[in-house]
Amino acid sequence: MKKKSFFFALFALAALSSCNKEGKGTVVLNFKALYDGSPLVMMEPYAYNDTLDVFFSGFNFYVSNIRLIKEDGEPVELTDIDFVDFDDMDNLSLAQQGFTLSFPDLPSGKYKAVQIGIGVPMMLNETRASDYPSGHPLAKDSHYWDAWESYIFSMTSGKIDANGDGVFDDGAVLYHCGSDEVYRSKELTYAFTLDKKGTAVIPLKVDLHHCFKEGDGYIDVIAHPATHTIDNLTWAMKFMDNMIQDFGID
Amino acid sequence: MKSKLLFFSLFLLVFSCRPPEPQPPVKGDLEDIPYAPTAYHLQLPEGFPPMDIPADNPLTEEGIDLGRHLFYDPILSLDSTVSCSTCHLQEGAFTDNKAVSDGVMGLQGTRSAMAIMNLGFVTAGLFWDGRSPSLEDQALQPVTNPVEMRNDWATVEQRLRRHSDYPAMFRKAFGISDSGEISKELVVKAIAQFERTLLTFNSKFDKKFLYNDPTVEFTDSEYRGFEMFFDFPGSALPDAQCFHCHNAPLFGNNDFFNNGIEEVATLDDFPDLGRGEITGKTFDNGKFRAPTLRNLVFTAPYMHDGRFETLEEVIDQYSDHVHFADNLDENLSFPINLSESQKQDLINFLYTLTDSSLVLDERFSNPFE
Repeated sequence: MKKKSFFFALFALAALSSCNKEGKGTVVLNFKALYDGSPLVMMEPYAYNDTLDVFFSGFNFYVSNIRLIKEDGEPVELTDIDFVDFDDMDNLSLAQQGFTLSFPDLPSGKYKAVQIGIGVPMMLNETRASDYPSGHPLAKDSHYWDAWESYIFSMTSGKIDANGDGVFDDGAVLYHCGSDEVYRSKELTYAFTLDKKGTAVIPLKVDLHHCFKEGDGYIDVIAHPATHTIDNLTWAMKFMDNMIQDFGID
Repeated sequence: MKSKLLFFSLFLLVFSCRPPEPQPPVKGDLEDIPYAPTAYHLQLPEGFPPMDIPADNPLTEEGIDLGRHLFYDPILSLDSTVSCSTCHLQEGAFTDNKAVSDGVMGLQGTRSAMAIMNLGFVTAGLFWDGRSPSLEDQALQPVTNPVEMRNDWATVEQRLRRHSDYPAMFRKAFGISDSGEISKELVVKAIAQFERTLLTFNSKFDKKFLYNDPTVEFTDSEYRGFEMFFDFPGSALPDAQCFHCHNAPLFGNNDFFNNGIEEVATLDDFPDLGRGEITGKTFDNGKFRAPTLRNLVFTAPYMHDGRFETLEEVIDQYSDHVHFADNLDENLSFPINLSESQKQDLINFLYTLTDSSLVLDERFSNPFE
């Protein structure tokens, strides 16, 4: 009798376990950085405006509070913080592939939207890089600014050729945006079905050139090359406003 | 009869001159020695990150002690003249105060020996070019480097197995059963354990800002240097652009940079390709690890090739002589142009990162003296 009940329990456990597995799927967020609609390749020259060319050596940012919204409105949490990094995408193939974050074991079913923040939310921004073990997205000491008591939410670096000689030594672009004031979030409508044991890819994009929009043109990066101190918050906020506005489904 | 005696004497003489044949280790020859390692817990101050310690190499008192002995023992080198400590002297905050380091037989390397302190926090590759993923892997390399120790691991293992003390020390640290189990993997584990204990966090800066010691005061000059180093909002002083690569509390960075010290026509022209030699990417040429700025007072000369003998030269370089290249770190693309007094303020702040306890601590000293 004991043996029978043991096997029954084992069978029930196995059935329950397999049910759980079958009810789960994986969601992949595929981020692509663009420049005027084309994949952004690091160190490749691009026209910035009528007079300037630019190349970028770095573009990365924190993403946070990512949730999927089910068709019935129920939120499914993916992560509170992660890091999207295009710095190594120095050829077209890598740029076309983009940067992926993968989230397994999510409930299957129908979804209608994804919520995402760009930057480090206030609660987490009260911590510092040394609070975290290596490998944690917030352990990056290069992305913590002691004097601001803030993480650098988004880091864009590049160089400028202003005189058309093909040498990018006429200035630099250094948009390091941080502090609670520049945190931005958004809900993107995106209907998809996550099958049991399946994988759903959500294609996301942000156009870096569009992040520099100002009026009918682009931010004057010769006059405002850096958002390098919290004193220069205006341009950091402009950049992040543009970024969240442009951020969307690819 | 006489000739027989002579022959016999000669035979004895020749035979007695031959070195003894190496005896194969006796299976289980160390099992009588107790193996009861004592766990060692690093006491890290608040404000320091947790240290990554490999699960297969936990710190023990016995492992650290063995590592300390191996670190200071020239037995690792070809001619038994060079130990780790030859290039990493305690009095130099574990560097050798030479532009480039000396190896065996008077051979010279091409880079300056990096200071060994707080290295357990480095997570993105050791050496100036980051080619080594862990302290254990790093310690493998100097032994076979043709300039540094110029040895081979089989010889080192054999020497250690025959040694009068090391087999028992390996037993106590790692529980080996016989001396034949002494291996390069265990050697580097022990050295890495010792190196993880080489910590420094008792500088004036630490006391003031990490421990909030009310008795520690910065001078006005040190404060001005502090503001420029970290680029404080609202400060009228210039941004010296230091902290981007040398952030607190470690004052180093897990990344690689071209800091503009080399004037090159193209990215292929760097005399030392640095990180680029490892990644194969042209854009990484001329990039090097940003080392810690702690204990700079002990670690001159500076940069990967030791080209600057003084901190004044270093600050002058960053302030006024940065060379452009496509991969120059963008933080250095803007002229810094510090005044002479601002340069001195910055240097005075850098001196607040001095922790002489590292160079005096007997736990880190040569156990053979």
